[in-house]
Amino acid sequence: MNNAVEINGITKKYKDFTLGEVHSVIPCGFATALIGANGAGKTTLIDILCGVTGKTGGEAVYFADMTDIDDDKLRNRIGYCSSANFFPLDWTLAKIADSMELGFDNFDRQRFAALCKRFKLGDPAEKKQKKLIKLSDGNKMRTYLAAVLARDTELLVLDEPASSLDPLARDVLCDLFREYLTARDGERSILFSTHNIADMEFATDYAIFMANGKVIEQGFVEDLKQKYILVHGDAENAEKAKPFMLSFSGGRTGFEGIALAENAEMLRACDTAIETPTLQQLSIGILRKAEEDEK
Amino acid sequence: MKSNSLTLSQAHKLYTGNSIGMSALRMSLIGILCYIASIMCIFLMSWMSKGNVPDAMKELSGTTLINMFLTIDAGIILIITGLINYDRQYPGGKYFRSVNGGFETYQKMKNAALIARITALLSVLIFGALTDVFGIIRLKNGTSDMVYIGASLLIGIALVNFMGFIRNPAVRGFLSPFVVFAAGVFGVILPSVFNENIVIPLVLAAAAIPLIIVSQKVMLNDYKRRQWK
Repeated sequence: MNNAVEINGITKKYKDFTLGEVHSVIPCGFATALIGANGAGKTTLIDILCGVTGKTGGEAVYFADMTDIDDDKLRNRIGYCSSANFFPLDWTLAKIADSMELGFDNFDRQRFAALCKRFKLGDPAEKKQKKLIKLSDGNKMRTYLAAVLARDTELLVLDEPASSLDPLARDVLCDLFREYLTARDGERSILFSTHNIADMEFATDYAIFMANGKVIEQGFVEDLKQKYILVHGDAENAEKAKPFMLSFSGGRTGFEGIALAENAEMLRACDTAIETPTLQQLSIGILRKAEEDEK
Repeated sequence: MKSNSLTLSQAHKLYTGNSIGMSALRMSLIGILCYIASIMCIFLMSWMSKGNVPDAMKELSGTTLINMFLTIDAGIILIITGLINYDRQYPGGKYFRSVNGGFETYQKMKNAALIARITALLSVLIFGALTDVFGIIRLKNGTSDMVYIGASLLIGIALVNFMGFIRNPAVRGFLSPFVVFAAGVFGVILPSVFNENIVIPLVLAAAAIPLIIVSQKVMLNDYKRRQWK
């Protein structure tokens, strides 16, 4: 099995927004980042894949041969968590554990308690507990992560897990991703959406870029870093280099942007410096290009 | 936990954190306390105007006002819990859509909540009847009033279900008390109209049961079609 999920032409039509057709894959054994501007369709796609929102068309094939997201066998293999207010706000750790134990076959109460301890959230068995509404956004997200990671799943789907976490907690989240993947090497996969690309780069193996409801680029990060180059140079060379670049941002002193690696020689001839882009730089370049194309 | 092996009470606990029994008990207590508080308020006013307890009790006991209080306080229970839908955009909405069983579990929870509501309604009415039987606070026409109020509020349950067709939650929330209390008022008026004939409310209650079942099914089908995903 090579892909945890194959997305074949999924569409979703709203009054003012259309997702898709989305054709993509979530490779098995890796962490996949879903990257895009606000309103690109990341949350809609995640919700469709997890059975939270219905789709208008297309199909998703999970674990090579499963297509019915309403099938409990499939639901039990997917650990899903949304970005905000995943649980009712008057719930405590104990209520979450009670509910998840009934809601899923593979929730481990002891693991939940251990994760709560690791995230400094307290003990779910304690009598006096804080309600979610009284927790900070960061602690709420930690609680959601503890709950979803306490299940023995094969695919973790997280919508913006890093957005409300502090930098240290984001680092811990990257470690958790690695732990989750290595616990059953090659069998588990992660899909997460993020705007905190720089902080999550360490945890990202594969990236899917979305703009205006469509997938505009995807691939393993290492491959993308070979496909694209980061170009920068002095302002006087900007006009010569611009035709070879995919995205361009310049000022009075210099310019920077992304170009295809196949144009490296031509750009070097324009007196530019060429580097391997980081995922953050790659994302900005690719998303800017999509924005310009849209105009 | 396999979704098809979830009991109604477990589905209710998955959604609310409480079993049917605990929910029914809580709602019963809320209804009974509201009834006691309503009577206490009006009793205190009467006491202040009359100057002594026996006269105040005499003025209050056996009046239509007591029947109204029983109707309103029992009716409140139907409004509070009957309108909760756990929509996707609200806290917990996405979680509930991801659990085993999905809509089937939601359906079980709604049916469990209905049972809890009816149990609580009966508890409040029985409390009202007991206060009448023991002569603490008399209903206008005795315990037969309780049967009339109960029957009309059972129809109120079906009407609250049909309120689910109203998409706007603010409009739904605003109109529901009027619908429930309009149904309840019949329970207050009809005993005088039918000379406390007990057969009439029993027939009404019997008719309310299929109406509740149908309204519950229709409401759930509509919610699944238009709101669930």
